[in-house]
Amino acid sequence: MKKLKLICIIFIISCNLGSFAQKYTISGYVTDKTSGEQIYSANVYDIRTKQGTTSNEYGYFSLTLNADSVSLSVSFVGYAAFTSNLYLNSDLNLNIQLDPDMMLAEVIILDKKSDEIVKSTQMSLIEMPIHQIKALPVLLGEADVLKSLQLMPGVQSGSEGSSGLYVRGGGPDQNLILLDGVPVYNASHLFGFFSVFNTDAISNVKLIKGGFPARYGGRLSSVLDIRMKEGNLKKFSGEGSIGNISSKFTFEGPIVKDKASFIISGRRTYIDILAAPLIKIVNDASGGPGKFRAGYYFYDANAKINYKISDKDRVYLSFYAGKDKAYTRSKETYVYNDTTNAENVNFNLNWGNITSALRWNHVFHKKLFANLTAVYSKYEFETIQKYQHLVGKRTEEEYLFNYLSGIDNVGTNLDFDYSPLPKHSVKFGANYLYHTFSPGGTTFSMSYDQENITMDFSNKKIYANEFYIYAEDSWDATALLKLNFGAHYSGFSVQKRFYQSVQPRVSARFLINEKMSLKAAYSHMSQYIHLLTNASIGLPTDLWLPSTDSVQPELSKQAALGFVYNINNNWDLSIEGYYKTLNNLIEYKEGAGFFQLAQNWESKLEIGEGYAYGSEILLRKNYGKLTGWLGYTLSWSWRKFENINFGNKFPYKYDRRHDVSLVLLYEFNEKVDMGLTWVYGTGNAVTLGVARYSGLSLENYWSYYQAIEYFNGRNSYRMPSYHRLDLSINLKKKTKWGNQTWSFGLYNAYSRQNPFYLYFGYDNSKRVLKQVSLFPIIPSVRYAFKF
Amino acid sequence: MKTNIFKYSLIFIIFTSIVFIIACEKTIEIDIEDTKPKLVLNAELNPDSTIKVNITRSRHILDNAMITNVEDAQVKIYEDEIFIGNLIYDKNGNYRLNYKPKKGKNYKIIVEHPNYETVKATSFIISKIENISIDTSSTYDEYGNSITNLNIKFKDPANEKNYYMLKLRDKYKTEIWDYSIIVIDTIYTGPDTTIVNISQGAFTYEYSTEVVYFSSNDINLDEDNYFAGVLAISDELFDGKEYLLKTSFDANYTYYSTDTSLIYIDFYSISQDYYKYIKSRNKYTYSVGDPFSEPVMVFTNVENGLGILGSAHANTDSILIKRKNYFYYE
Repeated sequence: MKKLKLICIIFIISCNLGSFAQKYTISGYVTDKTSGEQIYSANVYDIRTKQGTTSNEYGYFSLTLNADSVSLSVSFVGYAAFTSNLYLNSDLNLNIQLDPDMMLAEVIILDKKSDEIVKSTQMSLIEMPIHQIKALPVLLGEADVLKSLQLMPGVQSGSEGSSGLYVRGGGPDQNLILLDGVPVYNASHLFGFFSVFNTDAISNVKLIKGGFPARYGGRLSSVLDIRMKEGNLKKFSGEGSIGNISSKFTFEGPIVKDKASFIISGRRTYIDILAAPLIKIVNDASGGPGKFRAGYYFYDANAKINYKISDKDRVYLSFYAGKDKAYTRSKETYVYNDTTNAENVNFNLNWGNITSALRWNHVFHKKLFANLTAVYSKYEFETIQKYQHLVGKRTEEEYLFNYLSGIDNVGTNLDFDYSPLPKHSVKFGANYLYHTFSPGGTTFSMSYDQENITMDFSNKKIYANEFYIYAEDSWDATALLKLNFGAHYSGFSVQKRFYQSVQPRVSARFLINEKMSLKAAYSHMSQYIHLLTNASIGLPTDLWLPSTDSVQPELSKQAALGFVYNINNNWDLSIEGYYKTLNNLIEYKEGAGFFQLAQNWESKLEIGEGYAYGSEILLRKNYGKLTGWLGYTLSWSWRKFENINFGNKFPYKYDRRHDVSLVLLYEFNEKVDMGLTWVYGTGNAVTLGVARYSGLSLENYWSYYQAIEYFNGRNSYRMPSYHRLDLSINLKKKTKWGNQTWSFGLYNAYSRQNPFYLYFGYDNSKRVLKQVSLFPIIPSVRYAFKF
Repeated sequence: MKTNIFKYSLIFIIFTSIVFIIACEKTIEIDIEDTKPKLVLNAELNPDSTIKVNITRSRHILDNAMITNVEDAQVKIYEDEIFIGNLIYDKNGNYRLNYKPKKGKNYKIIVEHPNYETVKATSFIISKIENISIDTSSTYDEYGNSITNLNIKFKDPANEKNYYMLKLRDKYKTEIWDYSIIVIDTIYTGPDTTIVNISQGAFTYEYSTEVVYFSSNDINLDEDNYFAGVLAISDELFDGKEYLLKTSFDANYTYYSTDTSLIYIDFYSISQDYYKYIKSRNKYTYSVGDPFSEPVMVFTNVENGLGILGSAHANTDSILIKRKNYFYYE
């Protein structure tokens, strides 16, 4: 608490350091001219004094300046900048509409955006425009937010095709993934091959890897802030696409023009439909009376409505639901004693997320913007297994097995943006979440001869309260030095236990000159919930669990140093280094797997620590016919657990010494553009036996016959390196009703056999190490339309 | 059973689903760095038996040949750093010395061989604990099956780390129809298999041991404490307290044994290294081949080599239980 006091004092003093000249406030919303959508993190600043701010998540900005001539500039990537010269002699309410047509005023856009990278205090930030995400070549043509982010330095993919994010040596559970401010717990479909975010329904993606502002908390390694589109306030429009494995459709428009709008979007895969004929062939070939069906699909839906009550009040309701479903059904019939008997076996595996948020924005005062949100989110995983034996129409026997696990959250956020003085921009607020953890409930019921037995082996639900309060100030300390400092205080109560933590957050930017700046940041983060996972593939059995008496909250500290150089209007370069420590990490005990999880999960865990360090270089070209970037990461990530690897440190499974990504997008003309990505990464660290030897005879059956494999350390073997080239070409056409695009893609264009896992097998009775690869060259095609 | 259905259905569904999106799967050979074979030392020192050390060699992981014994090594043993003798090669990789280790002494074994790096291991012979009671009782479970409860009550010495091992063995006599066996009269004593080969014309009788499966509801135990007949437990949760270890087993069911067989119950105090070895080895056995679990590294205390030098001290004489008349072996 002392730290908190100190920070408050510094804050109060710094707020009073401003000059005493007459000041006025310019405030308003930044919106998209064609759709009326609000623009998040648009740069609003006075070119003369170099003072500025950015619009918040709801497009609102408030900039207090001295009474003087002001040359106001408002810009955002992908939009023509707005500039206006005015004399400020009273408070001004200014709603600014930006024109999204890039071609109109390319040159103006450029330097403003690059300028922002140099001037902002925020480091370790990745922003990726949605149109860029959609243009990148991807697996099966399914544009994917998380996979696009994996192409950035400091962010790594796990195993082949997986959409998990490994940020600066951290795990996939250490990312705070927010969809419209609501935490999403399992962000993947199809065992991790696709992420749950439908790019047609998303307006903004922002990933913070370090230098976390005080307003975020609850996870150790990153914050991924994804915002859903709000719906076009001006006119009805739609877009959709049909691809190899999925189709999607989005429709949006005004409910009341310029006042209220909606957007609705849906996506479904059809692997089950495609596989159905194959299964039928199998059934027909078997010739028996049995019927077997199996399938898999996922769908997701996004919906949002918003209503602008007045210039000061606006409400939003947003909703996401997604579900994966895998199933097998088999039916066998036969005649016995002149009666038809039927045996049905069904197996279902379902999992999915629901998130929803009700939000109210209110401008109390031109300097004070408030946002109140009520959130609800849920993740559930269920398996149902049913056996039924029918004699005629009577049920002779029936067994039902059901397993259910999940997490439920209800909560509320209250956030304020306050711009008291020209050089200060303050954010403060509070958050509360009520979690209900369901760590695995199993019920088994059986009926035989009209007798029924039901058994319940459920683990008790665990209830927990989590809250935080925060305050941060973005302060132009001098012409060259800008600071963002604050504190985040959080608490977690579970089963009569209370955990708390005060987390300082500081970021600083020092301008070397107009084109270059140095940045530094230091932050603490804590994480009260843990993911029990067998992380090699994104299994839906992943179990979120709270901190308890024996499993303490995870903690991290990260320091980062960076250099940003805006080489010219087109190119910028950023170099960053970081050092991060991680405490109270959890791992399965050696030999424990998720199948033994259901009971006593705490006793299956080892608690340990980790540390990661590295540097990242990003050279990015933002505008012109050719855009893209080259990223390189040199990194180390270690783990140390008392009871794993005999207490010696070992490399994290996804410790990646070198990671390179090259992304090029070339626009030949309005009709044709091409994309290329090439990635290279050091092989994953795995544990492999190097020798076999005989064990001490313990007079057991197994001790006579079993040779023990000798491992010379956890994760001490490196798989072969990973590299892959993906290509895409988009052919666009304007039609009477809108635009259509044919996209063709090649995933793994030179069909590199990348390792997915290794095992020891036999080749003509000779023992060899074998490698299994997942995806060879995979073509894809997608037809998209927009009207 | 239920978990198994769940487990296999889940594995099936995951793999079939993945296969839908995998266009092809191919295996590639990769060279693994050559690792030189090492000497493997395995021994359990016990004050109640003479010293026996087993020496074998490790194989490169890609070498599919049988693991073989090292018959020409020099095996020296030291008691509190004083040389007490060279072990003499006997057979099956075993080297012996007609000497019983003493409690409270440190033993060091050095194995030398011209083709391998010299290996070294040490172990301390702990004292056995006093005032221990072992009792058994027969009862029936809820399904009417006969079970035998085994309760071991003892006082753990305070302020020191103690480790215990429980072994249940089924000793029985079988007829071996092997005409090639040449009559050998050998009687080995000690904690390992007691084999008595008695020539009787065309076939031999062999006394063999088999594991007795047992289970426990003890909350301090999970599957890595016991796996098939050997249980290792540490006093971490009951240091200095009186402890009642409850286990149960089916004294009637056995695959091999006849009504003449006996179940031997032995409860030992063991060294820390031995405990770590048994625990990690149980875990290893439990999880080997499961693609979803992290590989388990089996503990070793042999410098420059592999294996274990453990020490065990039986707390009581063996408790014997006679098998009932059930005979499942066909």
